[in-house]
Amino acid sequence: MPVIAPDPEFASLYHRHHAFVWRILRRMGVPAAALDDATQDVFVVVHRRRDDLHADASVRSWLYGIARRVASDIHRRQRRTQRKLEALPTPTDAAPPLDDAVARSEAADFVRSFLGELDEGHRMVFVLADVEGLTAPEIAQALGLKVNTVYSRLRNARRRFERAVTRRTARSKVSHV
Amino acid sequence: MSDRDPTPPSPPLSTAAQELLRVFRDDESPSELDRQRGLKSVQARLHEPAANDGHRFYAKVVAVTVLLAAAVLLAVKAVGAGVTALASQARDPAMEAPYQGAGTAEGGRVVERTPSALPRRARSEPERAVVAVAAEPVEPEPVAPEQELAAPEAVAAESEPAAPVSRSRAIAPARARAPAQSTVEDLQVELSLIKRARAAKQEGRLDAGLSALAEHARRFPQGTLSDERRVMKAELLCAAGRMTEARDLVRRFLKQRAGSALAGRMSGVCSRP
Repeated sequence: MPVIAPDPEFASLYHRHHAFVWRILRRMGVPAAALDDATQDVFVVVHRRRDDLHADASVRSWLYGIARRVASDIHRRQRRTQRKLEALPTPTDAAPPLDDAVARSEAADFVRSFLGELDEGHRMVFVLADVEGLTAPEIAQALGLKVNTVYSRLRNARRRFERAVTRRTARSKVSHV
Repeated sequence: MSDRDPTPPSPPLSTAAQELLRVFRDDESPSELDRQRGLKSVQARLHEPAANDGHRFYAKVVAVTVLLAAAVLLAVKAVGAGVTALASQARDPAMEAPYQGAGTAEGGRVVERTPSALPRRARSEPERAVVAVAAEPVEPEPVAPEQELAAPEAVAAESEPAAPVSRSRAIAPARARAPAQSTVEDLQVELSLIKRARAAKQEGRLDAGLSALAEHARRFPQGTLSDERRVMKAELLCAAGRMTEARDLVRRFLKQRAGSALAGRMSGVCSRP
């Protein structure tokens, strides 16, 4: 692979947002095996269209839009052969403290399972707000929604998540008795 | 919701919920190795010549199509002009005289022996062509420029012994168009085969991709898109783990087609350990 002089501005943008793009593509259903390539595709588009990004626009909203199109392309290409995504594992009854890899994996699986129960509209609002830390106006811009709709969906999703966490905690206590 | 949001619409999540989301976020994130490797790959894609292969491919297809369309239009126009000129000559009584009765050789194909037998306005364009050719002196048939674009079988057909003069002249416009149209259709078929192979490759159906390329090679051994076929075949073989065959293809391609726009892309096939 040839040695290439890095573009500092682009590299900075890449480092700041690589994980965000990666996670968002994953949440959009891009298979794990294709995540690396899909993330690269997003940043190739970013590089080509970086003049389109206005100073007053949210970078992450803009990235979200590009990622959505890349994910859509991947889904279209793989529609025929794509198998169902791996069945989301159900959370186990036990809820050990988050101090080891197994516990962390189970906690992550619990959140994945919860997200799988949400409809697409609520799921993406919840992820962008409480996992990615976007503001409501940024989410509204990225998803093409009204801000009030974002607030409403977020409130609903948070309430459901808190209930799920409470149930998980209760099960944990029962199993430890 | 971040600190920048001035009016959070709902109470913040509990500590336990936030902790679960933090763990989930970490679990979903790429590793540092993924990030570094990805950046190198992106930069390589932005700079290597193959980054524009897709655009070049479609530009090539568009250019070939436009050239063929222009050639067909020019041929039709030239033949039309020639027919019109001949028809006007045929209507000249001085030209008619030596060829009175020339239609007898046509075995009934040429209905009119003399152009003046029908009113001018009553004749259709093909009829005028037949009439004009019947009145034309016999001379060797010129080779249409479009024959250069014709497929081998079309050229062979054109080389067959000439039909009676007036008949071959009468169908000249149709024959002039046929090879070019055939080439356009061939190109469309070529394109569809290459597209099929590309889609199969992207979907991981390597055998299907190789099968489409084999069909292309069988039908268009020297096709317009033969370079694309060779590159894609090398990529598919490499993806299928058939490294020796892939590298052999790469070596031969770079030797024969060093100046090709696809040489950069080809040189990257199977180059990674």
